[in-house]
Amino acid sequence: WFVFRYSRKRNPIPATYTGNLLAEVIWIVVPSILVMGMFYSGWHSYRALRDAPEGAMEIKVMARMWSWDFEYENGKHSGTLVVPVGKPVKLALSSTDVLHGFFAPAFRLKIDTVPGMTTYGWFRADKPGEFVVFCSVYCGLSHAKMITAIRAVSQEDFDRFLAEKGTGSKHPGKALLDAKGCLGCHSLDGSAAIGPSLKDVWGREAVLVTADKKEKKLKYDAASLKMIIMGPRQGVVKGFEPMMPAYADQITADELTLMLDFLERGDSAADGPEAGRAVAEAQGCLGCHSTDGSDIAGPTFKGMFRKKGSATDGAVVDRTYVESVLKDPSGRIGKPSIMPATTGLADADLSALLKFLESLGTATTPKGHDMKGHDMTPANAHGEQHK
Amino acid sequence: MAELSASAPVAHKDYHASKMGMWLFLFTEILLFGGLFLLYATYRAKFPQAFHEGGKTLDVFLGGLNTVVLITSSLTVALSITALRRGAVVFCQTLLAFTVACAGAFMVNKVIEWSAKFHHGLIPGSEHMGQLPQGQSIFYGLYFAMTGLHGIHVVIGASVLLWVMLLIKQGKVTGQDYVVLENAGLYWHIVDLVWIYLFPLFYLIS
Amino acid sequence: MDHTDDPQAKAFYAPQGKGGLAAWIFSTDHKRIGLLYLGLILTMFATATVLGLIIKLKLMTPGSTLLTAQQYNAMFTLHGVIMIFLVVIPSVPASFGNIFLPLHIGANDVSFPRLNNFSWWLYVIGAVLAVVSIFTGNGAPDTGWTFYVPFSERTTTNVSVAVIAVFILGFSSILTGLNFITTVHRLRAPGMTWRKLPLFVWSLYATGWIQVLATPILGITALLIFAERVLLLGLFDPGKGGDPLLYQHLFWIYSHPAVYIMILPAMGVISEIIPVFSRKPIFGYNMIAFSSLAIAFAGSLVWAHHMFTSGMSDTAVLVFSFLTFVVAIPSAIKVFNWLSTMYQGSISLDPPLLFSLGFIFMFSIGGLTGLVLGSAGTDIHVHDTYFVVAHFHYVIFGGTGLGMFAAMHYWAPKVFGRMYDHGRAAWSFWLILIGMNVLYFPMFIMGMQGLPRRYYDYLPQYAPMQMVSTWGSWFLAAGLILMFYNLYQGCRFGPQATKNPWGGATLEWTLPSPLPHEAFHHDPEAPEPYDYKGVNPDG
Repeated sequence: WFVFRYSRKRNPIPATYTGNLLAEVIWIVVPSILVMGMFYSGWHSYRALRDAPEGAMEIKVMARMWSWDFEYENGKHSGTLVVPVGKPVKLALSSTDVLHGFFAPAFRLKIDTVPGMTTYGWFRADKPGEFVVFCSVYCGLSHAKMITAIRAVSQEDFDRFLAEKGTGSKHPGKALLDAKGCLGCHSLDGSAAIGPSLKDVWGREAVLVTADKKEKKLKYDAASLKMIIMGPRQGVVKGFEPMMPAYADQITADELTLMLDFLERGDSAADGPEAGRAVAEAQGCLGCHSTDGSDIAGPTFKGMFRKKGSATDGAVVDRTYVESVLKDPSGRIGKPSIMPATTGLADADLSALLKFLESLGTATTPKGHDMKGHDMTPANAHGEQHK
Repeated sequence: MAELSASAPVAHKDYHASKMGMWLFLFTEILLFGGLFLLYATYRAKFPQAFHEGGKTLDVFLGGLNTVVLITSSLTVALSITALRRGAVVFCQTLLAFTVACAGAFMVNKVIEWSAKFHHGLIPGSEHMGQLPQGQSIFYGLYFAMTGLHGIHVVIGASVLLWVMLLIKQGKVTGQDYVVLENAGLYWHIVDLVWIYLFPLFYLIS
Repeated sequence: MDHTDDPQAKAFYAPQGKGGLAAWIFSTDHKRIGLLYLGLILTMFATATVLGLIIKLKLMTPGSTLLTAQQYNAMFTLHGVIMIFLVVIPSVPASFGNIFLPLHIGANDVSFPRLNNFSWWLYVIGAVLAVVSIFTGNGAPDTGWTFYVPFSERTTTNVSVAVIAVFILGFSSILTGLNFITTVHRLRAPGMTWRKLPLFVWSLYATGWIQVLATPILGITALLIFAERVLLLGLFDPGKGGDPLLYQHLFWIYSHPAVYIMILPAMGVISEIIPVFSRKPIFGYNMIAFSSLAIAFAGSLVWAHHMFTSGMSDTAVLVFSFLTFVVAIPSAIKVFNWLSTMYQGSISLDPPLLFSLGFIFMFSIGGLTGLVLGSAGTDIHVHDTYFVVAHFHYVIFGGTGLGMFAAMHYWAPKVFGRMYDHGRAAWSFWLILIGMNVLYFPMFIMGMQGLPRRYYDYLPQYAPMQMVSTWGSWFLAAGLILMFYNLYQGCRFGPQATKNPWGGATLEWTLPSPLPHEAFHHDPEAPEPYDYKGVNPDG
């Protein structure tokens, strides 16, 4: 613009003034007013994005490498976020490992998830549909694949979704594989992705390359899969990059058992005792009751079935006993217990749970060396340990 | 780094420039520690109780002794500059040697203190540290980071003083041209000053 | 000091100049050190540019092509680390600043010449370590140049070496800044009052202060990452009660001002070039000088606008958003003053001015989009997307990069004593400008559409834009190749340059080209830096 108007040919003699106070003042003041206006409108819209309306439905979001986990108010988990149309949703976000960012472009919603800290965001889906969710903070290898969706559905569909028991007809181990993000790298249909496919993995042979570049044969079974998933890992399967994170602190032993069961037997095992394990897992029983003979907060489930319970009347652990303990732990046992009451457990779930308990008590006869003797005695039941 | 900023003026003999350069450099040193002090402030606000508990376990006697040692050495450095300007070269060298000896004593103390901590299993990254309550492992982490970085500075400072002693011996630093010694002294004062802040923050807070 | 009586001093800086390697790499002469920096910076620039081209090539089509995810992550990390710490931060100050700051104030060297050489060595060590980190250990770092915890603590790649490299480079930068500040204070020629300082010197002076004040924080941050990884201190580990946000604060306390370390010297260059080619005194000298300092000061207080979505408190967002807008004002002042300098001037559209105008154009776009990012509400949407990538490249490549190229075209005849081909320079400029816009503008659109950055793969809906963007990168590459070829050709074989080819009034143009070793045998008389009466371009 000025360049052509005042090019040297047209304007050989330059003007010589060095400044103009008025002009200076004008272009200090005018941009100042402009930017302050922009600042205010920016701040205003920011507030609108931040302040969740009263009574918003709260959903917990947990980010991990490299997948998302959504927990609804009734305790149900899912890998994609399902919300009812037209209702404000408040998200309480955190992360298990490194920084991630929850970014839903359709709702202009973006908030980082920070391990050890809870951050908040909110949105409202005004029309039904699927909306993409990205991870916006670089989090390592599969950052670009850490994508999920917000599925906005009608209120009825949402209620139905919430009421569904998370497992459905699928094997609970499969749901876990999905929820833990395994399926992001490992396919179930036999195609190679970032990691080896999990189709028919059980019993298959592979070559493991150890850290010092030696190769050794590996047969996928319970022990080797545990080594790979939980670590410490002895090497990398030949043909793949060493990029799988160790899951030791993200997957519990019970979850692992479920996952391995699915890998071993596939969907057909869904009706077996492992379904009961899923119920126990979903209800949080396994947080206090182990299945391997060790005591956590409550007595182990191992070998509990048909043994004398901890109630004062000396009843054995059976269906009625379990039902009554679940309904009113402290009352049934006769002394205060930290165990919370469980309500609304469906009959089918209770049956599955019992089948699961039975499998622990009878199918696997405890061996003396892998548990302490007193674990087996009824004296170690609820309430007793609080003495 | 201190060596070079101190040495540069020899070529130029611009007393003010070298003093100014040194002050700017010391400023950056303070800011370097400033980052750590910022961390300290934030975490202490977050875990006041854990810091209180952590402070109890530190040895106030050893820390106090080290404070005395460092303050004395600061004094002797200051005296050595005066001595050199008066032409008392030998006295100046004695004072400097004493300062360096103080630095040595400080480091010995530090080693005793740290090895006692290690003995208790307080080794960064160890399992024991991992099991401490949240704020405490941060406290010890900061303790090791800050006193460690300070220790490195003590070693650097002592080395610089030794190097200046050599220059004095060679007659390159004299009563007329003493800016190198002055700058080395300034550096030593900063090392001392940082410790004076570290001592109450870690040892005396309980 | 060993070469002060070199008989060939006059031809010393011409490429044909004699003198063994040792006389160069241990030189305490500011002009040699400046050239050493220039050489290394350009090498690093070429390396990182190639990395950038590979990234763009990979992103041309969606899907896992060309690179694995791990390779891609390492690639963009290295592109960032090398470009930021090894190219852009030292670019103008370490090379042209070293050469011309002393000359502009009528001094024969900087205050601490040996320290200057030491800074260069630190830079070399840092560069070597950065390269070493690629090839050793468990693969190149893959954290992004920001090294965010806790990922940087957990990844198995070679982050430890890289952060040490950053620490050392930081020290190099501090020492250069310290040297410049002291030089400006102590070595001005008699009569060179503060108000007679060329604006380039002012901008370097402001830069020096940021370097001295902000870089130590980076130093300690890098050291802490190293300590976390090697000594397992756990200060930022959330499992032990550490706070990852604290790391981000520490990091940006340095790294935001670092952006001004990058841009201010380039602004200084532009402030020199525009009046020279307009034959008209700079408009509003005081305001430009003052705005340099204002940017340096206010720029140090806005770091947390990188963290609007990080989960810090809303109050902090309010304050930092406000301060960010404040920084926009001095930048706007500069742009207006440059334009009014040209107004009613007598403009000669030579290559340095072309590049300067490119700077103003790109910087304005970058600056205006910066306001979108500074505004809290809009930032939420575009934060961590390609919008940020585009904004950053407009400001840094379009700004500092073009500023650097302008400086190269402006001073090359002075330093090397030969003139390059003006026509080819203009061609390369237009190629670069078009390439940049085709490359980066689609990124704004993709960012608005929500494509997050650092994605090695993307959804198909972004494919057309990515394709266009990749074409842009080829234009840009062609322009860069042409420009460097032209400069090299010119400096080697071009016609002899005269003493003052552009008609500049600052002191360096009173010296012969190429520059002699001992610039001023006695203190020069301080000129009015922007008075062009009686100063005319030679020939």
